[in-house]
Amino acid sequence: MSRLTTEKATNWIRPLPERLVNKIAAGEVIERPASVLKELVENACDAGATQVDVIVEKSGVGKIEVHDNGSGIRASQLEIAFSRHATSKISDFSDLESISSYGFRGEALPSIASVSRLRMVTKSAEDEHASEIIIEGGVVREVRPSHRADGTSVVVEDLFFNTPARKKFLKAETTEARQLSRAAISQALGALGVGFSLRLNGRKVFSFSKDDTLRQRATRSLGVAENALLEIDVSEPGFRLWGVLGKPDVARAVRGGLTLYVNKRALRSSPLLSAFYLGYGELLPKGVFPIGAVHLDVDGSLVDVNVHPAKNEVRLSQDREAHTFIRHSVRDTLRQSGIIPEFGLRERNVFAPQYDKPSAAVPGVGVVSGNAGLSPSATDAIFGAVSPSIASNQSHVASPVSGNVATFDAKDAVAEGTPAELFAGGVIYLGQFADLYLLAQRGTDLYLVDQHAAHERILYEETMEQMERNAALSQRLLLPVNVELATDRFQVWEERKDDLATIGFDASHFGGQTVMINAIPAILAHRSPEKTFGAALDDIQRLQKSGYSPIKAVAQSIACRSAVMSGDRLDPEEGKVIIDRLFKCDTGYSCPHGRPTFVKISRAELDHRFGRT
Amino acid sequence: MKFSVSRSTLAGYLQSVLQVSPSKPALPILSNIMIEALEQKVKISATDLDISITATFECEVSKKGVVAAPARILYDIVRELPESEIKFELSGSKLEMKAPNGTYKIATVEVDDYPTLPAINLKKQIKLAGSELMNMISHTTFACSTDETRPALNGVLWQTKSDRMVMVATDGHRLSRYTVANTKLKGLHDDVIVPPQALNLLTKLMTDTSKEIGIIFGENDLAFNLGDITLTTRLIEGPYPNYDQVIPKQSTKTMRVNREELASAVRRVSILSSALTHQVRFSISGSKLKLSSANADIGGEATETLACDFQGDPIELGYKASYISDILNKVDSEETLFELDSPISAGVIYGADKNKEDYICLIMPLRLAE
Repeated sequence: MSRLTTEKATNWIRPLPERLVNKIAAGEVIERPASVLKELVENACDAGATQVDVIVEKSGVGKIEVHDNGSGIRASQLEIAFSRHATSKISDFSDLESISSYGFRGEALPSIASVSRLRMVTKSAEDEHASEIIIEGGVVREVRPSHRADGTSVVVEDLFFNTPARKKFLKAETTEARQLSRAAISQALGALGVGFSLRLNGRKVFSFSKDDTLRQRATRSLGVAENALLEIDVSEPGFRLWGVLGKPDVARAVRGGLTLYVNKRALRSSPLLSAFYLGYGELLPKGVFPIGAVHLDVDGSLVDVNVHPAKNEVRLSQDREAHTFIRHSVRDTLRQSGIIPEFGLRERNVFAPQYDKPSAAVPGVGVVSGNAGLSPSATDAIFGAVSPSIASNQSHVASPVSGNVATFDAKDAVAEGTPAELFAGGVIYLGQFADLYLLAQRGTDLYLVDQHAAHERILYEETMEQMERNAALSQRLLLPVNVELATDRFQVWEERKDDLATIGFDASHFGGQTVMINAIPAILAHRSPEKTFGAALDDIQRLQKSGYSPIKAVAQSIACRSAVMSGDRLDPEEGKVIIDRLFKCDTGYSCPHGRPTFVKISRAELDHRFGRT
Repeated sequence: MKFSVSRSTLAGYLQSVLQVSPSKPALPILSNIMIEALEQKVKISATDLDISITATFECEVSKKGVVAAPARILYDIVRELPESEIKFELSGSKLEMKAPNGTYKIATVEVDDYPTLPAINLKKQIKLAGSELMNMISHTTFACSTDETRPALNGVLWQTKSDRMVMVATDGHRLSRYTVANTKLKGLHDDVIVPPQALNLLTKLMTDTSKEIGIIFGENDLAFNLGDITLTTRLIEGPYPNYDQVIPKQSTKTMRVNREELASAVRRVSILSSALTHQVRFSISGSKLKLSSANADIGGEATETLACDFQGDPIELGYKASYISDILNKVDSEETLFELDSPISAGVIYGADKNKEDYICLIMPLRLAE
């Protein structure tokens, strides 16, 4: 009986020890070094600091220091500050309804302290001395008087030293560094009126004075010219949307360039971001996203920030209205700036020559075939105006095809081409259809080839091959171009500059986040060096995520950007070259993105369809 | 409004003005021209908002007025009419044209909707020989960039410096600079960036280059006065890059080669250059210039060897064929001089029998990535 009791004792339900609770909570709040930075900076801002300085060593695994000149913590309160759900920011439930501070859950400090060695020196104006607390893995080691001006300094070292599982999940130092600077920038663009600096791994990433405007901060951190940003400021009862938005030509192939702040809180992902994409509409092609930093001010009582411990999400009680409001505001702002053409002007016009109204049936070419019942002469009479274009279309597509179509009949095949070409794997180019598909015959099969995908595959393999041979050609620039890069692009460049050089981008560091482009790949020489370079960095960033090696990512980027486009009309020579080279590729059946390059239709399948079997 | 004018006079001026009327305008109103009947003269003008052309000619005006009408249609009618006096009259909102053959009526457009042509805020006015202007323009505009991210390079830099004028164009890969001495410019210092489209249009309108051309420098505009025709263009905002610092001050190698021989050899060899890079390689040593190209796609190769006069250590470099061809077409002298330094530095090209200061072109090489 007693044995049974002891056995059961292990299954008893008991409250967890506080240290374990903190460690579990830390798992939600403190995901990675960037989360420490975010929480500490938010605390500093909540303490009314006007200057926050952040120093990070070894991408946060070594050390994260945050110094502020805020109100500090009274010596008597210091230990309580590190117990969970202790906060000075709200005191009763009603405060939760309208939160104006960043923090309120009272989780951050104990969570950080439980997974690191933390030292805090703080002085409140009410105390005569500063005090210092040292905590290791959530255990208070020492509390002692210290000295410091009003404000707080927190030094977090050996993050995750006692949670090896979490530590193992940290990405490469460069990835964590990117996350850190992204987190810091997102704070800096949110906390206007607070001076802000970041030193990351010994390099000054930015330093904003407290008077720097959102536009100034955004210009520098997004790495764009000041006139590339549009001012937006639209109010409606209940909402105000204000900040800066990038013009369509500085849009990026990655999403992270646009930050939305709802009541100063940066949102990493939100359905509201899609309202911006919709606002830009067709101004941006698919896969290209706007940049900017925009604040949405909403009545605090309409926002629920208590959705996730890291507070990267919020819930709006009027999210539909907010969505519509943002979409319209963005569209109107773009329109007022003249980027969206004003349709009103077209309508106000003007002069429309009064031709005889064409008959309603004319518009589509498709109608012609639908009218097969009409006598040819009647069709001509009605569609006389349309027929020249049809005829030219037909001749373009049909002539090369019809010239060889007869070869499908085995008897004529001998006459039309040598047997070797027809039956021993030789490829015959037949023509182009719809300015998009190339038709080719190989053996007894018909191939429909997507010209863009095929060309991309060819260029991709060639670029790869050139890079492997170190033989990529590069066009030197007479006037080197200085580009100030956004932080994420800059880091990609730092990581990948050798690979970029291999394919023909010669760029050198020019201080800060500015890079001087001295040469670009010759096959891209007709494009803007600045745009080409930025696009390559974006592509690397994007494709690396899907597991591409950097060289492959760059090769793919170049291939995609220099391939013939869908809709380009090709000379028979060009079409033939693409077909010939495609069938020489190692992996000719798909483009570098994995889309198929061709569809094969066998002679047997066609015979079957025509009832010849 | 009522006036009459001979078909040929009007057709000529319409053709000039139409140069600027866009065929697919962003604003539909721009496909119209403005016709103003003044005291004994008629003024017609068209604009694409950046460039405007105005023609003024004397004629019999019996009733003054102003109207805007579709440019192409007007021109198509006038062009097809047999030579005669055409009587124009505005009746209601229709413009009526009476010729001996018959009467044509076209709907007009509210004049108030027509963009007002820029009034030039006059800074300086000069006169220049038409031939000098023509030379500057024809030797430079080809090198302009079309990269919209660097708008200044989309234009031609036109500098006036007391006793000389300089036009410069570059797209970041090659550069051309043409200088003319001019003693009449005393005291005038000004740099403007002019859209090459405007300059190329001007050369089309300049039928007699022996005449002097009036040039009006405005705050944001530039106007060329050809007598009966005025072309006005908006200027491109600067700053223009400091091109002087990229012009090599010295070279370690020079090559003198027959221009026409080289130009035609480049044209031939480039047929087999790579479809992607269009590279033609120059291998120079002793008194030989070897041109070569290779195209992997069609499995072709070409080489040609030319005699040249070369001083310096042997060098190999690659150029984009069209860049070299463009320059050789412009350097109009029998022999061409190349001043070279290394396979990554700018090459300087100019006519051997010309003063280097007058006209030079720069070209950046292609090279193997490291």
